[in-house]
Amino acid sequence: MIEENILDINDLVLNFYTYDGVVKALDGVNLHIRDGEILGLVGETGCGKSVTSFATLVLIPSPGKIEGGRILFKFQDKTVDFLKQDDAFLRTMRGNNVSMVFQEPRAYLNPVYTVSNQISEVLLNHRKGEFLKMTLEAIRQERKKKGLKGSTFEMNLYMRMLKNPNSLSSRVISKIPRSQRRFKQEVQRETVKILKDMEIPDPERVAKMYPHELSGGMAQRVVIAMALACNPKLLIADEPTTNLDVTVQAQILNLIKILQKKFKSAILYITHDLGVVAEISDRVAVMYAGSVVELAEVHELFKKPLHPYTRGLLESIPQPGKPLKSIPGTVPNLINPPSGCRFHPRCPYAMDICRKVKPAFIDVTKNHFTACHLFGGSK
Amino acid sequence: MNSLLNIRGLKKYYPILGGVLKRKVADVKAVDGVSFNIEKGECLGLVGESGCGKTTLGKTIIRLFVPNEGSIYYDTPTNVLEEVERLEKKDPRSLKRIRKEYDLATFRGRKLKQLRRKVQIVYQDPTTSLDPRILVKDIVAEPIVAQGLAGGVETKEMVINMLEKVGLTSKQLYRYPHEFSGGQRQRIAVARALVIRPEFVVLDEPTSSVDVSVRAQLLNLLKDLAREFGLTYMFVSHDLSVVEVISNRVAVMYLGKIVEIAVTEELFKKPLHPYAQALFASIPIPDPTKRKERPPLTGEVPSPVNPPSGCRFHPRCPLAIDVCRKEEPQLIDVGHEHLVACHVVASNFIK
Amino acid sequence: MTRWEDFKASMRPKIKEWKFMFKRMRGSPLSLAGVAIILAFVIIAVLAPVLAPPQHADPFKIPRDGEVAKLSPEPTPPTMKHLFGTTDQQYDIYYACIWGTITAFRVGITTIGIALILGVIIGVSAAYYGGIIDEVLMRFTDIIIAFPGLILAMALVIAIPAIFTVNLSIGLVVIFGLIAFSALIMRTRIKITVTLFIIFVATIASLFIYPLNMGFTINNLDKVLIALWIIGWPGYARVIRGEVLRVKSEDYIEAAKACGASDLRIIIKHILPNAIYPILIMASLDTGSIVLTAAALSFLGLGAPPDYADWGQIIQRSQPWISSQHLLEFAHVFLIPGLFIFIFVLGWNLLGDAFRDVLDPTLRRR
Repeated sequence: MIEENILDINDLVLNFYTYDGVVKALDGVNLHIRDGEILGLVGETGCGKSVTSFATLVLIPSPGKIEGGRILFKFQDKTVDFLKQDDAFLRTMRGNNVSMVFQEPRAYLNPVYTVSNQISEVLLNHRKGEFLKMTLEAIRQERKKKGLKGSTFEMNLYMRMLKNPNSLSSRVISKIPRSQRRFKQEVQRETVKILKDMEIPDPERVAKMYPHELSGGMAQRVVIAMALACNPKLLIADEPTTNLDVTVQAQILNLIKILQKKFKSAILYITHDLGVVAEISDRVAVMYAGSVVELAEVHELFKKPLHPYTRGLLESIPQPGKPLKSIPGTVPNLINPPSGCRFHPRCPYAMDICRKVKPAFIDVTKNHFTACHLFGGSK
Repeated sequence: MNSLLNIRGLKKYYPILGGVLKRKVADVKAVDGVSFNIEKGECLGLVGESGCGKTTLGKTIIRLFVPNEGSIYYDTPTNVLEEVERLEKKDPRSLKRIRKEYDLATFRGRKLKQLRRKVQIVYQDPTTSLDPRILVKDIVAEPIVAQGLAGGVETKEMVINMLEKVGLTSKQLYRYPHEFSGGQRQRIAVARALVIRPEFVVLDEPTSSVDVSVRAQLLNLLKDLAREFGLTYMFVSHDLSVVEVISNRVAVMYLGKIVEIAVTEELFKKPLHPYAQALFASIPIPDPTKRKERPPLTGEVPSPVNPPSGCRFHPRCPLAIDVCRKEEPQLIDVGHEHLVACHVVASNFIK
Repeated sequence: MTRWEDFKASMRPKIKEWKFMFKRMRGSPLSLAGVAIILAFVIIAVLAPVLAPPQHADPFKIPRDGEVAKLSPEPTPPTMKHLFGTTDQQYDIYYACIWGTITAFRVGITTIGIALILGVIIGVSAAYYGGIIDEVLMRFTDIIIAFPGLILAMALVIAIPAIFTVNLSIGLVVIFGLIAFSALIMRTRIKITVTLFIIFVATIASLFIYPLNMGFTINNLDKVLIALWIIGWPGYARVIRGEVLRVKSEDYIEAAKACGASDLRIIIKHILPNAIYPILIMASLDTGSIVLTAAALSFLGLGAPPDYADWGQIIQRSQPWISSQHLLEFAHVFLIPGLFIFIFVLGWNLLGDAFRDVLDPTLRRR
């Protein structure tokens, strides 16, 4: 894997074994994201972009099964293949190093817990040790100022929790309400700070709200807050602004740009809206029927698209005054996909070889990848 | 200029019940005083963000909801409308007779049922707007059968005819909706709406739940059918690019009121109302060289239960002046049938 | 296309859906067991006159062996002549079990049938019309739920005499009252005049036929049945009210209104087919438990008369004969009918589970 990549997906194959047949959802997906960049993943409904995002976290719903490929992630200067790791390791990754934001925010917020409850849950899951240390430090400083020495019962409790986080006594005592007031205050303070970073007005009040009291834009900010709480290296955003109004979308896109600069996370931004892609991405990947057909830097892609599907997409953007152009045909059925290149039935440049051989995903010009026989995909 | 619909002061509130006795505590003022015309044969686009009341307005116009106040004059001759204008100011009560005949807001019982032959609606989500346990044949035949307009054989002919017009075959008559794709289901919904040849159709975001690639086909279909059957459309949507393609005129709604109406080209080229300007500026442009520096509009839409005083947009408006807080602006024609409801624009115009 | 071809074409997709449902059922052996059990019982019930020929005018009277005076009071174990043995007083258990099947079906199906009809009418009216109609109907339902079933059964057994006379005029007023009520609910334009007219006619007619009475003979089992009918339906009303409330808010109902469909048409064609499934599952599960309740009441002595063919009745007869000395000797008296009850209820439970498994994924597939 290239040094600068944080995520590198090679030839990922994923099938869904359903009652109606085997759905070959992902047919060799190739994708890479560099450290700290925003990669826009574009495609129509059913092309497999959401499935790819879930697969990256190895959270595939049954009856899906990964049948091949590698998901390489750069972690602490090592490269790990997520598909070869056990569930315990992956759990430390999810929410911590790789987190996800979804399309309908209120569907992914638990309706019976307040906002601050849910954000603290994420914080406590992964950064508990850090907070315990912070609390202990803060108490020590206070006591020093007052001239007190030694440690209180509370401090002993925290120290014990730090040493053996999984011991029975720590777990039992942590369930007693009011037992960790100071600790909880620290966590609460961090929660409010995170909400303020999300440009949420009046964060203390919002922290006490329940998800159904939030508007769409606010709920999405809360979900983004949860995702960024642990400063992940990679944030996967699956159509986070599709359900929002266009003015709120502009606000959220701006927020994501600001946060990305601040937290320096790489973002995999999935959408079907080419305008959003142009607005926010550094590089763009185009997906069709289960594989990535083109990947390039954003200006390059819009000015000089290579793959016929990309060209068709850009031409079908409605222009006032001109008649509506659309790509003829429909998205293929993935139980019986077309042979060879899956786009060939709708492609105006289809050649004989396109029907027989699936084109390889190669670098055509400097860092402009595409999978098409027109550009030597037969290698 | 023959207006098919003349809407005056239309209001639709939803009561909020609270307390032990479930009394009305407050109102959600979904549509709060809306007046405009729809000309025969045109497609009027209605845009706005969620919560602005556009869907409520569409459904109230065709009497799926009962308006709290206001009138909806349908297919009223011009001289009667002039009479209405005159009497409204002098003696509103004498309008009763005219209203009983032309004002949809007063229709009940049999008149209402007859109205259903002339106005129809296509819903946003074709998955929920078609009964999943009924065959396509019966879904499309429903308006005919419910109104008792034709016998069995004739009904079937009309259904097949309509299905072919929307691009489906008679072989697909005997299938359930879930066997079709989203785009095809929406066509079935369109067929159901048009099978009894209505005059006016409200299209409530018909392309929002449909794939981008299918959207163009659906829009072309709607345009062709409008031309063939001489239909008048009201196209409600939050997607400005779609509205631009299909509408002749566009109205922008904010928090229950219409803030700007103009011919499509004019509105998209030069929106005058600050909210409309922010709305258009917020659309992400598929050109990476044209990125936005900052979001054109900050803050959230206020709750329709307690809208701001005066002009509803004043708390978020960059141009707000003193009068905006006190007085509600009226829709004023600033030339070429371009109507704007804004004190600042009005004062510039007068100059 | 002729009408016949048209009909065939209409049925084809429905048949496809049914085939899909049955394929799912075939996958689960327990569901098949349930279907098989119920089918077996149906066959027994249908073939009862053949399997156990009646020896009295009333086929539900269990035959006894020998002359009344010389009857041995002890139950006898199974022999060739009496396949399942006899109870005390020499009642043939085999006969009782066969004809008891018909009784069990009668109890279960009538109760559930009435519960379904009443529950649907009340639940759908409450949910569809809402407002005060909903309040009134639901409070009425609550009152019925509050009735303790067993105690009501006992009370009815005591209160209703064996020969039961009904004054026809009361019957007429009740019927016309129901018609008037439904007219009110229908919200037809002329409802007020029609309602008043109906009440007027009913009152005048009842004055004329006041002296007329009609007599029925009614045994204790029927009285218990009436009690079950009275308290059996509220659960169904509540469940279908919930379902109708859910379906009512769907877009396609509003679309049907936009097409000009009348309320009745919407209820019958759109709401009921979409709302009925949870109730069907409830119904099949309940049938078993209703039969169990009736058997329990018979065991307590409240149910069928002594020589009536009913499973609970036979078990009741075994009661004085069960002591530790004679347990094995006379066990057949309660074991065999008990087994019948057990398998019958099990069959309905499995059938209900089968319905639930089958109907849920089908809905999910949609």
